[in-house]
Amino acid sequence: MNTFSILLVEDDSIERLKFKKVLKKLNENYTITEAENGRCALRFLEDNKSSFNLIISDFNMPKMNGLEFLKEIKTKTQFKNIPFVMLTNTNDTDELKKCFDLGVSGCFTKPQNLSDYSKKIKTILKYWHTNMTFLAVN
Amino acid sequence: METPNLVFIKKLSEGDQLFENNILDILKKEFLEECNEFNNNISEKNYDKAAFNVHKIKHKIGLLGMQDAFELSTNFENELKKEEIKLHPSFLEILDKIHVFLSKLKIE
Repeated sequence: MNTFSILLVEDDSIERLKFKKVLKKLNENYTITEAENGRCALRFLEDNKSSFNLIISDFNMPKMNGLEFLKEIKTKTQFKNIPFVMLTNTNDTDELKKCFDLGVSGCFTKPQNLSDYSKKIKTILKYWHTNMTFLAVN
Repeated sequence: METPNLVFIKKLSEGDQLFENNILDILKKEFLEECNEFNNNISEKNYDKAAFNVHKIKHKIGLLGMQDAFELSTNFENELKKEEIKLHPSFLEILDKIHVFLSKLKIE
C-alpha cells in the first residue's frame, strides 16, 4: 500500500496531538509532516524533495496565517494542485468565502472531541480517495 | 467564578493516559510561555499581538473546562483588536486561577 502523505500546518501543539491521535486510529498508511505556521510550511515544501498528497492547515496562525499560506501555494506551479483543506475555529462566511475564492479544496471547523474529529477526517479522506476533490464539511 | 478542572481533558483522552499526560505537559509548558508573552505585549501596548496571545490561551482555558472564562477571553480578544482593554483585570484573574491550578497539578 502506498503511503498517504499529509502536511499538517498548525501552531497549536495540542491540536496537532489530537490530529495525530485520530489519524493513528484510522486503518490506513499515513505519514504526517508538521509545520507550525505557513512560513515554515512553505520553506519545508520548497526545501523538501518529498511530495504531499494533502495539505491541512489552520487558519489563524502567527507569522503567516492559513489564508496567506494558501495564497502563496496557489502562485506556485509545483504546489498549486495539492489539495488544501483549511481548519477554522469559526463559521465566519467572509473568511470561508476568501478561502474558496482562492481555490481551497475544503474547510472544516475544528471539532472539540476526537470522535467528531475522526468523522470529519474520514470524510475528507473519502473525498480525496474517490474524487480527488472536496466539499465543505462544516 | 468557575475553577479549572480536568473533566474535558479526561473525556478527550478516552482513557489514554499517555495522551492525557502529553496534553498536560504541553499545557503546563506553553501556558506559562504564552502568559509571559501576553504580559509583555500588553506592557508594550502591542494589542494586536496580545489579541493573538489571548486567542491561543483561550483554547487552553477551554480545555480546562472553564466555559464562562472562555467566553470572556473571546470578548477580550475582540476588545484588544479594537485597542480596548476593559476586560484585562478579569482576564488576569482567570490566568491567576490557572497558574495556581497548574502549579499544583501532578501528572500521573
